[in-house]
Formats: sequence, C-alpha cells, structure tokens
Amino acid sequence: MITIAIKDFAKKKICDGHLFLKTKEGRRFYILKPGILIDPAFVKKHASLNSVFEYEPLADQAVIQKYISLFRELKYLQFEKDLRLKSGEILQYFLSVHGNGGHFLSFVLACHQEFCGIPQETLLKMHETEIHFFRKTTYSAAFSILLGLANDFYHYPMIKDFYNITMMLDYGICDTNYSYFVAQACNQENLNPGTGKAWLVEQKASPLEQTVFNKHPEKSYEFIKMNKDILSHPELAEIVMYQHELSSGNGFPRGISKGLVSSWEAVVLLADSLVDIRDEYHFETNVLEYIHNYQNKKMQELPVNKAFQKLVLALRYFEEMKETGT
Amino acid sequence: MEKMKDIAILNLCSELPRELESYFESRKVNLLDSGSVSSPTHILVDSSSNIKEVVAKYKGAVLLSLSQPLDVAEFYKLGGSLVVDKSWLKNEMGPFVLDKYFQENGGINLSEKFPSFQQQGSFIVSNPFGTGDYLDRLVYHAFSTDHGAIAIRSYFDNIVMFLASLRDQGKIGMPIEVSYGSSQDIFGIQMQINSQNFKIEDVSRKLKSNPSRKNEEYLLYHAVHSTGFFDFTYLESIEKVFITSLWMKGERIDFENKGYLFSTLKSPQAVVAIPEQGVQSFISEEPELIDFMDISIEDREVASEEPIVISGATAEDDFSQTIKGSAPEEEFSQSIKGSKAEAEFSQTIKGSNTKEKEAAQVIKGSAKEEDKSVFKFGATPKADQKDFRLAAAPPEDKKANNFMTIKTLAIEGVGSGDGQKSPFNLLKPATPQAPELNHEKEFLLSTSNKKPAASVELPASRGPSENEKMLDLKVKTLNTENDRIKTQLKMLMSEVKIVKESRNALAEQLRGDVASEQINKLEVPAEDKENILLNSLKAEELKTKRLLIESAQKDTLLAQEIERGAKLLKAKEMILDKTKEVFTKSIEKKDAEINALNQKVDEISKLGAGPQLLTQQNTIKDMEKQNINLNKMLDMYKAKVTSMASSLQKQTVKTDEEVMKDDNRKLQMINTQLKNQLEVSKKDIARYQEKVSTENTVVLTLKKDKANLEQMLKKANLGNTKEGPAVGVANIHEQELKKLQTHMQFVESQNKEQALKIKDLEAKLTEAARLIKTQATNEDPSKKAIQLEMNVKKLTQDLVESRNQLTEMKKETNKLRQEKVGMQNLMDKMKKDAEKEKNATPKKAPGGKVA
Repeated sequence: MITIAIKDFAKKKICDGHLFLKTKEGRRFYILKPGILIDPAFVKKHASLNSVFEYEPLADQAVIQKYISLFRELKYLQFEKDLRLKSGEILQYFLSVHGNGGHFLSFVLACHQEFCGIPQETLLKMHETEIHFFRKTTYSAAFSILLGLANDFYHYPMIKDFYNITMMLDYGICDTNYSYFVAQACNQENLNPGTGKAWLVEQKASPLEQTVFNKHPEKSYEFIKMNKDILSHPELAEIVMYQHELSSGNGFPRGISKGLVSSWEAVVLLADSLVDIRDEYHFETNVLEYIHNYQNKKMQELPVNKAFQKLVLALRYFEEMKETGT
Repeated sequence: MEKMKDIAILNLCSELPRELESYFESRKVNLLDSGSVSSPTHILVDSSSNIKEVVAKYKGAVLLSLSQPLDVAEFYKLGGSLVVDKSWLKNEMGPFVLDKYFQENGGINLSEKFPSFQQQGSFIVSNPFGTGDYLDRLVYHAFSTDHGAIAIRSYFDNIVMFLASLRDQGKIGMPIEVSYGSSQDIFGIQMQINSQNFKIEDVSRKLKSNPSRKNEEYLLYHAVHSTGFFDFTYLESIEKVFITSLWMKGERIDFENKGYLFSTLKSPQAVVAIPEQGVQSFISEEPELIDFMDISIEDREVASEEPIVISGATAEDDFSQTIKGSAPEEEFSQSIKGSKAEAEFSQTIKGSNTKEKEAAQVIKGSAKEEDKSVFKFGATPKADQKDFRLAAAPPEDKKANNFMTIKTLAIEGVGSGDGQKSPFNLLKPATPQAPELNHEKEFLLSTSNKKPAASVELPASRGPSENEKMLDLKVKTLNTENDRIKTQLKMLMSEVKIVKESRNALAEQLRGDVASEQINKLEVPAEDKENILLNSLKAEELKTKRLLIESAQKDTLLAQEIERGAKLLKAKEMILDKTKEVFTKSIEKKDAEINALNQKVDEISKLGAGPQLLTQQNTIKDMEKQNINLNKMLDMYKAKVTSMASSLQKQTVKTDEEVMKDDNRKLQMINTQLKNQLEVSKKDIARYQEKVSTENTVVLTLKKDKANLEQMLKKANLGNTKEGPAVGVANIHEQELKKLQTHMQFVESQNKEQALKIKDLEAKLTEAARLIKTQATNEDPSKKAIQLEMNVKKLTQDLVESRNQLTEMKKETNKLRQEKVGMQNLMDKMKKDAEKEKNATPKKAPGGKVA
C-alpha cells in the first residue's frame, strides 16, 4: 500500500490496482477497482481537492512494458514464419508470467495500451453506462488477443481488430434506454447461452428494454460501420453480429448455426464468453488454470469449440516446451 | 433428402452414365425424358445438346452438364451451375458432389460423409502476399499422401492471387481460413472468406474456356484448371464464400476430368463443418519442412553428440568474437579463437534455436562426418586436412551428401564452464582475457577434403533478401579482417623465427665470446644463459599474443560497431514503416472521403435524372447563389475582422498619451460635427422664420383684402337695397374667395412641411444630444469631457430656443388657421346673405315695374 497523489494517478488510463481515499479521521473508502476506467472528471475533482489516496498496485509495470515491446516487434514483422515465431514468443512469455502467479491485469493493461483504438468519448460512454460492464469488456478484449494468437492470427492489425471488436460488442446496449436489466440479460446470455431473452421476460422487463437487448448486436455493428477508423479490416465488423449465436442455430439476431461460424468469429465469441460481469475476478492470479478448466456447458452451446481447443493446444505445447527446457 | 423429392431432372444426354442412373435411382429422383409433360427443375445436358435451344424451351430450369461446355462463361450465363465429368461419378466423390449440389449443402461436410477424410491442417491467411510458409506445409502434406503437389501448389498460388484481386475490388475481405485434408484417394482444400456486395457472376463470368490475358481471368483459369473439382459457393445469409477444391489420386489432372460448381445459396440445407477431430494448433506444429532460410545451430543435445569445436583447452583462454545480426531470429556470429596457426580460425554462423532437424543451410565443400577429426594444436595437420569447414551434414541426410549444413555446427567449450544450457549461450562471447596459449591445448577442428567453406551459398532460386545481403557483406568484411589478421600473424611468426635464429646465433656467440667469459666470471651456468634467452623468447611470444589479443579486441569493437549500425538501420526501418503506415492510413481516409463525395455526386446525378430535375436544378442554382453570397459575406466579414484586428493591434501598440490624443481628436470631431449641425439647424430656423414673416405679410394682405371685401360687401348690400341686382358683385366675391382658399391651402401645406422638417431637426438634435451624453459617460472623466459637456449644454440651450421659436411659430400658424376659419365662416355667411338678398329682391315687371 502506497500513498499516491492524484497527479501521479492521473497518468493512468485504467486503474491498475485498488484505490482508497483516506479521510482526516483515518477512515478508508474504497474508490476504484482494478480494470476500471479513470474518469477525467474524477481526476479533476480530486485535483481541486488535493486528495491523497492510498494505492495498492497489482499490475507489474515491467511485465506490461515487456508485453508492449513484444507486440511492437510483432507489428513490424512481415514474413509468416517470423510472425508465427513471434506469436509463439508472446504466448511463451504469457505462460512464463501467468504460470507463476503473475497478475492477469498486466496483460490486460498492455493490450489496452497497445491495441485500443476506440475514441475516448466512446470509452467514457461505456464506462458511464456501467463500470463493471466496461471492466468486463476490457478483460474479454485481452482474451481475444490471446485467442487470436493461438488460433493462427499472427498479423498485428488483425489481432488489433479482434481487440477493438470485442470491446465494442455490447456497445449497442449503451443506449438512451439502457437499464440494468439489459446488461444483466447480456450477462445471463453469457453465463447460460440462449437464456437472455427468457430471463428478461421473467424479470418483467419493459418492451423497450427487450428491444434494446434484441437489437444491441445490430446497434454495435452500425456503430462500428459508422466509425470505420476503429478497424483495420472493416469487413471484420460482421463479427459483432455473431455474438449471441448458438451452435444449434437458435441464437439471435440471425440464427446462424455452428458450421457457418468462422474461426475469426469464434475467437471473439469465445473471448466474450470467457468473462462475465462480476465484482471480483478470481482468475486474475491463476489465469492458466481458469482457461484449462473452462470445459463447461458453454462449449457445446457456443460455436467456439475449435477456437478453444486451439488455445489449449498452443498453451499446452509451450508448457511442455518449458518443462522439457527446449 | 427432403429437397431431393422436389427435383425433376430432364435428361437430354445421349447416353446417361450407369453410375449416375444408379445414383438417381438410389435418391429417388424424378428423371424425365424429352417427351415428358411436367416441367423440370434441372436439365442434364452433354456436348451433343444445343444449350441455347434447351434454355429457350425450358425457362427457369438449371443446367447440369456431363461434359466440358465449349464456352464455360456462356454456360453459366445461360443458367448452368454444375459441370461434372463422368470420371468423377466413378469414385466415391461422385455421389458426394451430387448430394451436395442437389441438397444445397452449404459446403462439404467431410467428417459426416467421409469418415476417412481427415483434416491434416488449417491456417489463416491474413496477408495474401505472405503465404509461402503455409503453402510449403500444405504441399508437404499433399506430397506425403502421394497427391499431385504441383497441381495443388499451382492452384493455391493462383486462387489466392485471384482472391487478392477480388479483395482489391472490395468484393471479399480478409482473412481467408484454409483447411485441408485427404481421404485415401482424394485431397481437398477448403477456403472460407468473408464477402460483401458479392455476386456469383463476379466469378463465373471470369471463367473462360481458354487462358485469358486479363489478369483475373488468367488466375482463375489456372486455378480452376489445376483442380479436379472446383466448387465456388456463396452463402448469401452469412455473406461468406466457400471454395472447395478436390484432387483425385492417380487421375490425370487435365482438361477432360474437370468439374465446376458455381452456386449461390440463400438458405443452406446443411452447414460446412470442418472436422474437429483433426484440430491442431498451427503455432504448435513442429516444423517439418526443409527451410532453406534457416541458418540454425544445432540444439544442445546434438551439439554434444557432434562436437565440431574450435577452442582452447580452457574456456577462459578463449577469446571469441561474435557479430550478431539485427534480427534476433537471424543471428549471425563469427567466432575467431586465438591460436598460433592459421588453421585456428573458424567462422560460425548462428541461426535460430528451432528444432528443425532437417532444416539446414547448405554450404558447398563439406564432407562426410568421417572426415571430421581431432588434432592437437601444434601438430601438423594431415594431408587431407588442409582445409577446414564449418560443419558436416548428418550422415543419414543423403540429400546433403556433398554439402555441409550449418545446423550441425556446434561450438563446444565456449561458455560451457558456466553451465548455461541455452544454445545461444554456446556462442556467448567469452571475456577477452589475456589468453595463455598452451601448446598442449586441444583443438577439435573439423576439416574437409574439399574446398574451404569460405562463403555461404544461398539457394539460387531465391533472390537474396536485404538481411542476406547484409550478412554477405558482413561475412566479406570479416573475411578481409581475417586475412589482415592472418598477415599480421604471419609477420609475427616470421619475427618469432628471426628472434629464434638470432637467439641461436647469440648463444653460439656467447659461448666463445668475451662476454661469455664475463658471464662465466659471474659464474652463471650456460644452461641459465639459455634459459634467459628462452625467457626473452617467451616474452616475445607473449608480446605476439598480446598483439593478437589487441587485434581481437579491435575486431570485437568493430563487430559492436556493426551491430550498432544494424540496430540503427532497424530503428530507421521501423520509423519508415510507421510513417508508411501513417501515410497509408491518411491516404485511405482521403480515399474514403473521395468515395463518399463521389457517392454523393452519383446520388445527386441519379436524382437529377428523375422528373424533379428542373426543381432540383433550380434549388441547386439557388443554393449555389446562396453559397456565393454567403462566401462574399464571409469574405467581407473576414476583411472586417482583419481590419478590426489590425486596428486593435494598432490600438494596443499605441501608448496612453496617444490614446488620449485620439480620444480628444474624436471628441473634437464630434463637437465640430454637432456645431455644424447646430449651425445648419439655426440657418434652417432662420429660413423658416423668414418664411413665417413672409407668410405673415401674406396674412396681413389677406386681412386687408378681407377688410376691403367686407367694405365692398357692405356697399353691395347697400346697393342691393337701393338699386337693382348685385349678382355680378357676388360672383366676383366668390371668385376672390376661391382664390383665397387655394392660397390658404398652399400656405397650410407649406406649414405642414415645415413642421415636419422642424420635427426631424428636433429628432436629430435630441439624437445628437443623446450621443454626446452617452459618449460623455463612456469616456474618461477628463477635462476635455467637461468642455464637451459645456458644448452640449450650449447646444441644448440653442435647441430650447429653437424649440421656443417653433412653438411660437406654431401658435401663429394656429392663429392664422383660426382666422382663416373665421374668414371662411364670414364668407359663408356673406354667401348666404347674398343669396337671401337675391331671393328677396322683386322681379322686374315686363313693363319695367316691380311686382
């Protein structure tokens, strides 16, 4: 726990630890969680008050910098083999750091710093809509990088697009008619695929809320289409439309079945389903175990089995390499 | 099978193959002949059929051809969708292809239909121009299963380039997911691609029967003609394209046994399912191909098995030079190890630490493993060990029999003392400590019977990349450095020889010389003398060693410099890449803007083509005019703003005194203006006064006239009473009265005008006074302002005076009006009286008497 002034804290975009505000009486208030966007208004307010915080950092700056340098190296490589080897190196580094209890937040922050191409006002809108929702998308987006690399997507612009698409998947619910129900329905759909709509009806959500939920993939898609600068490959915006599709073909909005879902869509879909909206993410300190144990019902209901298999295979391969010392 | 029930096929083939007949029977397909009444869904044709006639007769039916159409593009244009050669029907793929076609499957369901069809690999193509590594792997798999690797390679190259051209047109998007697999006799490749604004005709019309000079047509032609069966299916619902290509083992891939399928599916019956049992991570796949780009060092285990070592007895004694390339995966190093003889120089090239067993960099002039031998430093090398080589290929590698592979090169001893395991550590540069060369140190040096491996030969088929060129340059520079050092060493050796000779000569001289007597006197034994000389010799040798070390150190410095240069170059390349990226992005943005503008223009032009053309054109013209006006206004305001800005700037530059002066000047100007106004108003007043006076005179004359008239009237009255009729006089009075009335009206109008003018003047004066007041309040309370106030007071006084005058004049005019009214009344009275009198006078009798 360290004491930190707001001016030092203001340099960060996303909170990388636990932030407490200490009163004159010595009482501590929990202000910010790791992974939450630091609102400029918050900084402004406390800058005028000269607030002093107590801060418990979780992310490792050295690890973040190493990740960023690896991503940059990947960015400037051209040949497939070099790209493949560099992607392997990134996965190896991921294993070496997070296999030894390294905090997942370091990877999340490095990914956000390197790949996030979403305008600040959009991020703020997401953050203002629901802070936990923003946090969830940030973690999911980081997983999309990992999945992308493991699924043979080695090109920097491609995995950057995965990151930004995953971030923007649920932007459609950041609507004027947003309600807690809509976000929860999305989360319900994540936890138990195919149950989101029924859950909304059960909770007696208004027709307007139901419409927001049903139409949010289209809205997100339209937003990305309107803001073409977000993606290097604008054609990948189509992925957003697959976010609530099911293996059986009973998903929405199009009802596309498993066999028609391509690997690039599966990568984003799986990244989104790997994280749900929660107060605490216990996998942060043991992300590898979390991935390996992620064999549940979702795998049958979501068309992501192949993408998941590839991630596990790649991680296992590098783990074996590490064990054998080769 | 649901869809098969609705199918009715009209057979127009001269001869229906037995396999196809049995297929239709098994699927219970309704097969019609030419005499049938019911309309077919599909028509089966062959080379004997006249397609145009058939299409004209049976509109809406889809064509299937069992032979190669003369014009493929025409065939698809007329409604054809499937061309399947009879040879395909003979094997297991025939029913599969037909099932897929009739049931409108969304692709090939390999795992369900063909359990033996196993996926061998998959990869993602993000950059269509960087597929070499993947293609090598794919072809390797095809080759390993005895399939036509040449046709597959040709197909893949052409189809990927064709897709790249489609991407340039915005028809498809990246990435391309490629999966491939094989059954016993068939090898298949499937591609999935995102597509937008796509139509199957975009591809089918490009498929020609003969090779075309057009790039896309050429690529498609060669891609299609490199396959046995080519299926291009577009799934409309998900906007994806599936390209499936199949090759049959043993069958000649030529013109005769081709099959094509171009189809658009709106609602696919079944979906494409890539078999998941064959899922493998490409990233974790062990590379198995011979990669000529690999300049690799053997991993640790191999290195220990086949030591090709250039080193001293102890690790500390070694000094080595390592030059690393810019890219970590293409590390390049040269090790020069201190020794006495020329043969002690070794050049090593270090590459990646991958485990590619077959990966090898081939260098001519190598020999078999048996040629490698161990010899001691100082010992004379064998006759067949004149040259040294970098490494030898493993004996089991028959292909590299006459070649030497770098991958098997290993250096033992260097850095081994610290127990580091990484293969990179094996070439870790030793600390350049002063080496003590021991004659008994063993050097394990591999030698060759053939030419020395002075240069690394890269495959001729592949053009050298920049890195390779760099490496070549480095190798050359290092070789020259080596030569230089060799000559230095030679010189040193010759010096040593000379010293040895001189030592011997000196020893002989000493024996029989006076000096020897003196030495004898000093009772120094002869052996000691020799020892002294030997010591001096050793010292010389040490000197030479030091020189060697120094040269080595210089070399390391040079190497470091080269490395630094390489890093700088890399950094510059990175910067260039970044700037390129930025530029390309900005260009893309601009392009997008241009496209958007073009679209707008198109939309406008389309709208212009409609009935509302005139109105829209008018509105456009109005808009343009408005735009021009607005632009003008904008320019004007801009000019104003600039002038204001300049004036402001000037004002800001002026000092306080100047500002005061300016203010005074302004105030004086206002003062003079006001004075002028006052004078003008005074003049006006004077003029009006004159007018009023003239009018007064007129009024007076009128009064006089009135009096005269009254008198005349009285007289007339009297005359009437006394004499006869006074009608003539009354008429005269009336005329005069009319004249007076018109004059009065004229005067009144003049008065009104004057009153209006006076009002205007009053308004002006009040405005001026108000302005002065406001200015006075805005200005600083200086003395000048007081003066101005005084002036204003004067002006107001004048104003009050003029107002008074005006009121007086108004009063006078009112009086005149009253008089006028009175006069009119009098006139009226007089008229009435005159009439009465007229009536009252008796009429004359005919005799002149009054009745």
